Amino acid sequence: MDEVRRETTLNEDPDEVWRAISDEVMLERWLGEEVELDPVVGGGVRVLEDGEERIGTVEEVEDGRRLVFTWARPGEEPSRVELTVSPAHGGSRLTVVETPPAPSAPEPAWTPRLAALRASFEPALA
Amino acid sequence: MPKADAVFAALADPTRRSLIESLATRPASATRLAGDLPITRQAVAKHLTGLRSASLVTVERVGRESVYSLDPGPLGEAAAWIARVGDEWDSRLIKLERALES
Repeated sequence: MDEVRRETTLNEDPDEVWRAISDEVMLERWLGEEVELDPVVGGGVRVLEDGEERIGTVEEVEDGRRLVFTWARPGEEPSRVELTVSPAHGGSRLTVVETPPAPSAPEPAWTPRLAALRASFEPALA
Repeated sequence: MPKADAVFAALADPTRRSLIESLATRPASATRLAGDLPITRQAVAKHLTGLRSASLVTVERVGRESVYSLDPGPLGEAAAWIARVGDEWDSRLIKLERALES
């Protein structure tokens, strides 16, 4: 299993984008209908999106720049989400990387082929 | 043995990701899969051929129908995860952009 990566360029300044990814009120406009996220290491994460709830923990915070948290739906192993904001010409670049839970079974010999599997696309923004 | 680049190409298309997500739920015929998408059955069949050559999907004759299934092993699981999570983030980022613009 590998990761999902998305990068997008936005017209807003990094400060504004950071607010959009770390402030609960802003997060409820795009991440889920209900969001609880305390942007400190060890802070709780709870997201209700389309009726599905994910619970997790904030793992890393670099104020204004990087937020890393884990989350999982009930009964699932947590995956890791890393959100990074950086300045870009005309605004900001937001990078999202979600890494799946590590497989619990011993990895078979062909796993390096899966490790080479990277899905990097520009999202189709209107 | 699938090549990593063939699998990458398979997942690079949103329609193929939709097909993988559908098959992750249950096996289906090309006709049934086409019913869920705004494309023709022939287009679906072409995408399924691509997914088969990447060894993500297998096909089995059941009566008069060809029934497609997602590879039940870790490769199929990985593809299903990547397809689902990729589409989730595409959707969230569209909403984020709209939220920032308004």
